[in-house]
Amino acid sequence: MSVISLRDIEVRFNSKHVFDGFSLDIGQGEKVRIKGKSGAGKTTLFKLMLGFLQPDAGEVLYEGQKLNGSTVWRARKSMAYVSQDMSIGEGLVKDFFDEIFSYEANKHLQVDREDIMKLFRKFSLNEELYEGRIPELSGGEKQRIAIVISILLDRPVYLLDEITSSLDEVLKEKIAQYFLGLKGKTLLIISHDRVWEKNDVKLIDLDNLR
Amino acid sequence: MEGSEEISTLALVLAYLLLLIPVLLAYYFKITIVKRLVISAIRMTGQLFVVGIALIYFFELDNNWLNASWVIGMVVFAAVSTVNNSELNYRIFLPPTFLAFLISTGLVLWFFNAVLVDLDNVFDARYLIVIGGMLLGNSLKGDIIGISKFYEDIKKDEKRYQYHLAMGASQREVVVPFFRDSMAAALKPFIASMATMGLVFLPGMMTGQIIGGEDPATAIKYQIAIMLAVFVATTLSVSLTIFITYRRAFDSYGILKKTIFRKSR
Repeated sequence: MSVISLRDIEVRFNSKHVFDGFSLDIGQGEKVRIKGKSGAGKTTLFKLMLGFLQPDAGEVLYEGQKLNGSTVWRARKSMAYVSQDMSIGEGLVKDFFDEIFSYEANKHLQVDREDIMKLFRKFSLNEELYEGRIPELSGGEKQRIAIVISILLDRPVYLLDEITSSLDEVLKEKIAQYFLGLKGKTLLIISHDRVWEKNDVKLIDLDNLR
Repeated sequence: MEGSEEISTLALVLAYLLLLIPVLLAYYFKITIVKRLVISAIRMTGQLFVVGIALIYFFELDNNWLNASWVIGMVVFAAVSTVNNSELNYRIFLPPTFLAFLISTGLVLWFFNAVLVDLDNVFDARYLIVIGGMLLGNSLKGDIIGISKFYEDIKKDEKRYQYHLAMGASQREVVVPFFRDSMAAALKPFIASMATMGLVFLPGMMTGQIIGGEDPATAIKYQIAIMLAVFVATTLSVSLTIFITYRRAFDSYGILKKTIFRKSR
């Protein structure tokens, strides 16, 4: 059974069709890279999967269940989302972690400081940043913090939207290797970085669908 | 106890003449406020005269039902003004905002009249209408700041909002940080004015009572009680307004409905 399915999706923005009868099936444990020109609908796909956007026609299914106002909340708890273009607030980094892991959906994870520090070290984040303020972080540091959180969430599906865009080549390689090495996880990756081009990663080129 | 000195009609005309100073300054510096200033001054005069005449009859009749109706009328105006100034959709926001003001003002007004002042009749026009007006007038400002900020911030910071939804936050969990910021913004001016009260300015109620011949000690006690009551009424009205409205403002996916803002935006 597919983890995520999109059936005959139609999405229009101001009468411009971004998707017109688009279908997609993502199997459990599959690793899929999505590419396409700007405006091709890459991020729109993730928004549809997370229920931030509803299609003008067609349906989104998560584990065979149609995404609607009641099923979307469970689906979101099964996905870890990281985007290059997200806002993680303005307070302390530490409070940001506390807030996310205080949610009912995440309480069972019992993440402690050492778990966080291990990943900080793994992705070359200075441990002192944990006590620092979010606005003082660079774009790359914010991105890695969001990556650390997504890993700690340990969800079955990862939606990764240009997560290596602000990083140097060494870190790009390290992060891609980490995610591609995860066993049993379903990965959807939006990226133009070559580090994600591996044999077992299926490619969907949205430009070729038109 | 002596009453306050009468202000003659001529003296009131002189008070209007004071307006010439800002009008001349506005002309000199080409500040385009004269028209609005004149309209506002005319509105203020008309409204206060009508209210003044109505209050004379209300105080004479002192009928509980009439007094309560007056307060409910003020609650309606406060709700309309809040929704109007927040530029939110009337259909979605007016009924819950009215309810929030009614509950918050009703509770605090009852406590003020029945417990603090210990009135025999909590519907006494001099207290119900006057204190009710002060509570509403002040909590109205806080409510406009609070409710506007809450919905504006979620709209402006949509990415942060959606990120937390994606992290597994429930509808309640995801709005809490926005609620916290809105409450802080709504209450900040009150906290600041409480801290400077008496040092920077003598507040209206106390000034009125002292001019009216009341003992300053009594005036101060009333002022303290009213400030605390206003603070509580504001806290209650902002939180209740957000609490009652937020479920109607989001769709079942937890996404802020675009229709909550008026089309003119």
